Amino acid sequence: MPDRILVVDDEPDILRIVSYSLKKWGYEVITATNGQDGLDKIAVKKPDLILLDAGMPVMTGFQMLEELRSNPDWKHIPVIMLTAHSDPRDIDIAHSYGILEYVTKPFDPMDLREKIENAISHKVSK
Amino acid sequence: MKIANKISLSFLTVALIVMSVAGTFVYLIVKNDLQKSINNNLAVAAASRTNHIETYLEMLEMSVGQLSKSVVLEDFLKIKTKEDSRYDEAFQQAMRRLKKTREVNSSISEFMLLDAAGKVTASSNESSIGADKSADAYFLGGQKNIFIRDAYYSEIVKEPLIAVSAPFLDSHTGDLLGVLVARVKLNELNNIVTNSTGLGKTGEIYIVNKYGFMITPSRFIDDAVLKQRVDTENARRAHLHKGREHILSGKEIANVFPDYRGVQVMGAHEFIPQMKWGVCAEIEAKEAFAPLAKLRLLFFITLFIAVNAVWLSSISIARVISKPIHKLHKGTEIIGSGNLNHKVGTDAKDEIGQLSRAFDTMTENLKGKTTSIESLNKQIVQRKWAEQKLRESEEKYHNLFESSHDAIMVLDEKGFLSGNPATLKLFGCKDDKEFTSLTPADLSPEYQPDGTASSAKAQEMVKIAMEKDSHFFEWMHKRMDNTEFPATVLLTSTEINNKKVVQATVRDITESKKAEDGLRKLSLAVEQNPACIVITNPEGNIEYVNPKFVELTGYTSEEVIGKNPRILKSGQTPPEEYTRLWDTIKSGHKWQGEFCNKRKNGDIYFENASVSPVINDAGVITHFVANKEDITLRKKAEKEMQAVLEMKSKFISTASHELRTPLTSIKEAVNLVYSETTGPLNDDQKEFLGIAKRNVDRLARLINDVLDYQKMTAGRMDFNPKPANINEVVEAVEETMRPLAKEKGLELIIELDDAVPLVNFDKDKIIQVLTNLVSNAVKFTETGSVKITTSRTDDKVTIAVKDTGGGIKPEDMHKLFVEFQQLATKDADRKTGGTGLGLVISKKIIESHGGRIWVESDYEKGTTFYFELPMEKIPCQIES
Repeated sequence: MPDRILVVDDEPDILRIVSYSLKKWGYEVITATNGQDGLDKIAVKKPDLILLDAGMPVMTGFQMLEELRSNPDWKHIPVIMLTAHSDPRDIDIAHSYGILEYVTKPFDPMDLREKIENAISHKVSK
Repeated sequence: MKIANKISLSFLTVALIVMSVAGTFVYLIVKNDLQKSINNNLAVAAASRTNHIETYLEMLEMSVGQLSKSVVLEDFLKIKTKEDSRYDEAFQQAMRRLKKTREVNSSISEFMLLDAAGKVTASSNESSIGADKSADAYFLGGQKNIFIRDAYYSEIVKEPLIAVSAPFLDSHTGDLLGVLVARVKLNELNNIVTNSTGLGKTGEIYIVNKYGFMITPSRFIDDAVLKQRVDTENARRAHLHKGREHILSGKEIANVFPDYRGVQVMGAHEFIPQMKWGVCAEIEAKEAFAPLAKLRLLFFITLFIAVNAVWLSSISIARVISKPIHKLHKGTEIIGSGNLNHKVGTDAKDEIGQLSRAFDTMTENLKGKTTSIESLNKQIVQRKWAEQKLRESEEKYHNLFESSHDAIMVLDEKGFLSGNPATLKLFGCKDDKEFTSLTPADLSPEYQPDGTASSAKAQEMVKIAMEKDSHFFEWMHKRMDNTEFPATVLLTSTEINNKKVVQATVRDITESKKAEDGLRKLSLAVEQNPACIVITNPEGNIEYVNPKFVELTGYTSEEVIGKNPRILKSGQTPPEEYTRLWDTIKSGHKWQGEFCNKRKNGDIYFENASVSPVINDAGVITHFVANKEDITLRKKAEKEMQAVLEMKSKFISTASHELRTPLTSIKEAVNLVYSETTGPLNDDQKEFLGIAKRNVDRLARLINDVLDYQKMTAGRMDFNPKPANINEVVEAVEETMRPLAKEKGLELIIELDDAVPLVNFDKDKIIQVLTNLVSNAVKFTETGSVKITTSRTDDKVTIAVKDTGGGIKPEDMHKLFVEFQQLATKDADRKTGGTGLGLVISKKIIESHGGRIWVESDYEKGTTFYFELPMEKIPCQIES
């Protein structure tokens, strides 16, 4: 069974590009266009890793993190932030939710791949 | 001044004047005569010596002239060469002749015989023979006539000489054979001039040559010959008066002048034209005028003796005259003091004697007529006058007491004795009887404001007044109806019927207290005001400044009071501002503005000031009040903020421009690959390049919008408003947007009001706004239509864009015209590709036209955007 990754982003172009790459690297991909959508998708199929954008309509990435961490079933799902927000304050807030990595857009695909692989193996070893 | 002194002083004055005039007169005559005689003496001396000199010179010429006719010398000169056999003999003879002639002339130092070439062929002094004198003045000058060379210093004999030369002519042919020269010592000349007989101790005569040098010895200076320069008045004039006539008339220099030594002398002069010599005769003024000094001394001694004699005699004369007068005066003084028995009469037969006797007769007559009745009458009159005065004064006082508006009352330790009507009114007493039954404590509250009991304090006040005669203080009073009022009280101790009482004047100060309290509040407000407050008189001179002013400017109140506020001028406030200020406030209005002023330490500060005139009831300006707030920090902050904004704006526009360059490359590169010019693409490739292309376009739009927005906020957007028909704009936009709407299956409708007037606007900018609104409408509408309408009201044109889209949530409405706010659409799907700046820019554009943009939305039913442009009066329309 390939590991399942949920990608949450309001930009369709980003969703398309990231999921294309992830599939090429051998992962199963689920997409969501905002935080709420993401939570709905998790409820259906629990992912092994979440790639999460920050600024989104309806529900932001931070709000979604809040929901995730307050749910005992989901609180251990590893999260990598993938966002255009590079403000140190945002990074700090994100880390307070116990995220694994904070990747800013534009990103280096190889770097992202490495981080994803680390996160997955981390989860396995745990 | 006493008569005796007057008399002697006048005598003395007259004597002094007469003697001084006479003395001065005599002195001047003597002085003049003396001067004349001295001048005469000098002139005679100068003239006689001059004659002497001239005679001597003639004698010299004669002796040389004779020798120049000597046959022996002629024979010798005719022998041209030494080889001639006759030469030796002729030479010996010539030499002898010369030597002999020299021996008889003691003053001649040497005779020389020069041949026609100027060479010495024979001489009384052998050593000179053979010398070449062809360039010498006596050779050149003596070739035609007898010539006398001016005094010169001879290196050979080491003393000053003159030389006399004469031509030696062939006695037959008259040809020049040579020149005969005599070198003459000056001792003879010196003897003539330095003989100072008749010239006293300091007189001297000397010769000054044409170069202004002394050629005869000075009586006072050693070694003066040819060395001492004489540039005196006397010498100059001697050379000026060159004619012989002058000499005969004898000129003198009347005045005294300094000679070559600088000593004051008198002098006379003569001139010897042949030699251009000036002969000066001079005598020191001190010696010349010695007789005058003697005369002066004599004069003063005489004057002294005469003055004393006159003084003494005048005193005795004055005594004789004033003595009887003095006696008469004493006598009249004694009579005047009441002693009518005194006699002043004398036996003298003169006028004063008669006067004194008449006095005695007069006092005798007076004695009999004085009586005691007269003195009694006088006493009665005096008493009556005093009584009258007393009555008048009492009446006056009573009137004052009764009619005074001030409450006046009389009291002693026991209580009130009386009060005037104003007193009864003040305290609300029925009548005098009620009042006199009271004590001060009855008319006061129990305690005074300072906490002391009124009864005790009242007694103390009365006691003080009794001791000090008067006492003034403030007092809280109480009326009969128990209402209280503040008052001032003046207690004055006085006596009535030999009894000590106190008169009190009480004045109600309720009103002035109120005013004072009000004033205190106001003045506290002024004193503690955080703004600077300055009060000036109508001339602008400072009368008051509050502590804030002192703190802000660094000047103390004492330093500025009486000064003009212009001491604060920094020179950076434009002068027109001050003119405007004065014009405004002098015409009675309030002025408001900013000053740039200077503190005492020179620091510049800014203040926001308002200056108002204070106008009294008569409408006259009595003061100006300035209220000023220090805005230096605010100004600075504003300035800094301005600079920051400026910098930010500049940064954004630079960054945006810089972004465009790489973006263009990306865009064109992507386009090239995407259009498969570089080769065929598979589906995935095509898809992702499509994404790239779309986002590059979006980025380019974003950058353009940011730049637009930046220009707009910095006020750098250019507008070219022209009168145009708004319907044309709508039609143009409809045409460009139609394909987009059609693609989405939407109906694009326009409804135009044909009667819309021309409006002034920038066509491109309004097209941009309308395009933005229509594309938004199309973007957010899935089914239905987008409708553009135009309409007009009295003074504006309105354009509306109505869609049948999802509408806007009421809570999102406020985000619409805010930078980078993109609203979530109903289906949360954001494929809009907007920049978040479209509406912001549109708003700015409309507002720049003086118009308004707004939105009305019905959630889930649709949205309508409106904007209106004001109709401006177009110039050509006004003219028609």
